[in-house]
Amino acid sequence: MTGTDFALEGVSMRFDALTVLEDVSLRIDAGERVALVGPSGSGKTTLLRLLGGVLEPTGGGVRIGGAALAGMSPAALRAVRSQIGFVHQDHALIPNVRVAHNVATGRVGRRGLFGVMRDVLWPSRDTLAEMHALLDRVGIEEKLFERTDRLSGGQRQRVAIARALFQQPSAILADEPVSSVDPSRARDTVELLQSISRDDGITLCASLHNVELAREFFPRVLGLRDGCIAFDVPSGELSEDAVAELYELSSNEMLADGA
Amino acid sequence: MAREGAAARPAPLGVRGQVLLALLLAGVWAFWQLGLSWGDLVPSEGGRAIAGEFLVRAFSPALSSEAEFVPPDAPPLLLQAWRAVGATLVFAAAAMSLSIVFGLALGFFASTAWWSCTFPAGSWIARTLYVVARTVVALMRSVHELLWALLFLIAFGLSDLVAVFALTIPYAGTLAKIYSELIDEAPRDSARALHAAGASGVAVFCIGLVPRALPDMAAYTFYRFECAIRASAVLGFFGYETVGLYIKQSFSSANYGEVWTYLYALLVVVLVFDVWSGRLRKRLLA
Repeated sequence: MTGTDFALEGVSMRFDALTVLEDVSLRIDAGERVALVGPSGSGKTTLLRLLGGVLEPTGGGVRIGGAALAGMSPAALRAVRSQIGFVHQDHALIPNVRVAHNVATGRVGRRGLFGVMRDVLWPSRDTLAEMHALLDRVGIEEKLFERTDRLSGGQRQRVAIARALFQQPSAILADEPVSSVDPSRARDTVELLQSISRDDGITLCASLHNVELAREFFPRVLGLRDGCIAFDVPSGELSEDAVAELYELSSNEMLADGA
Repeated sequence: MAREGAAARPAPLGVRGQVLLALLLAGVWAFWQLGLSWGDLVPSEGGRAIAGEFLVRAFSPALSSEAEFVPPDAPPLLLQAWRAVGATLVFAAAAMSLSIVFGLALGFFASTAWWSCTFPAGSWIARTLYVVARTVVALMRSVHELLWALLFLIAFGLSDLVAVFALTIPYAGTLAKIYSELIDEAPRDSARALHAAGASGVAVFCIGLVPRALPDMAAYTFYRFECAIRASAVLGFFGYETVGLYIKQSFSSANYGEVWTYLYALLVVVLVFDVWSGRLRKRLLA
């Protein structure tokens, strides 16, 4: 599997009167691993959704795998999205079905409604073997036929990753993948995402609250603040000052809130 | 008007309070309009005697036929009661099966989510079709099943299929309304995830949204099934072979013991259904 590359060219995003991103340009090469850091409300989620072809920018252009998304037919856009595994902050799983069913939905872009129905109701041996291997890879093999809402938060996170992998993506975009798990599990999860990206050669872009994890597992760290890129540096060159400045306002706010 | 600087005091009666007060006043007005008097609740001399006779038999339901003339080939009363509640269940089950199929299809089209998944935002075609679907569903519900039964009886005569349709039309309408609302209120996160994975609009709706609403949809369907059993019993009063037919016959010949036998048989069926559906629901949804 090979990764895909992304490019934002002078992208702005406004929701009514609210400007979330302002004239952002960046390139992410195939197979690159990029961490996105920045305070809440800095535009990380919006940036990821633009990269995933889920949002259409109000200004500028998005290219995925070299192809401009603007003016693409809905079917072509779906084909692009089916190449990109998205790991959502809230996992976005269907709670009242088995883990295997959630994993099966990952391939909906390629297999379509009836293909997924088949994989849910009567999966082929190959499909089952593939799901087993995926769950083994994310470390919860024994949970394949468990009901999803019986799993812990960390296990659900892994189901969400397995679903994205079942998609056979050329890139994974992860929105705060570790915001709902405890620190030691957070480390495991980020490590897992990193190893997947490295072993399969797929592009990885993840937003993180934890700058230490970003520095440890990602060669490149991108800081967002107030909808603009504050820094875009190799993680080895990320200075404490830059990080402090990035979070300055929000940490003051947190103190003021008495948090 | 609050003086400047003075702490603003919320109005003593908010919008919710005003609505509740209006509803209460409407209720009082309705009582007054109908000229209801508590005296009507005291039965007449003769009425009291019949009511007493009827109620006493609750403790001694008939175990065999009380009719003066029993045809030689007539089944024993208990077998008759068993068959009658059986027929009641069969009517209800047939009507519910059809209602679920039509209710699902109409419920999809009567939900805003279906149209927002399958059409571009702001499409007037989607808007029109949505309004058409909601209107159809409202029309189906606006006529009670017994009224449908009466209309069909006049038009087609006594036919089991027609009785099933009389139940199906309003039940499918009610299911469609509730299904559509449950789907529209279901959490959207899994739908968003499927959209991001390149799913088509129909797939987003069917895989991402409907499963989230299914537990509540199933629970409501069980409740409607119970209602269908009762409605199917009452259909007997129009001549269909459900338990209502026998209750009516026994009642008009003043065989109150038999009436109670049939009522208890119906009660047992409803209770058994309740226990069974409760267990099934727990297994399916817990």
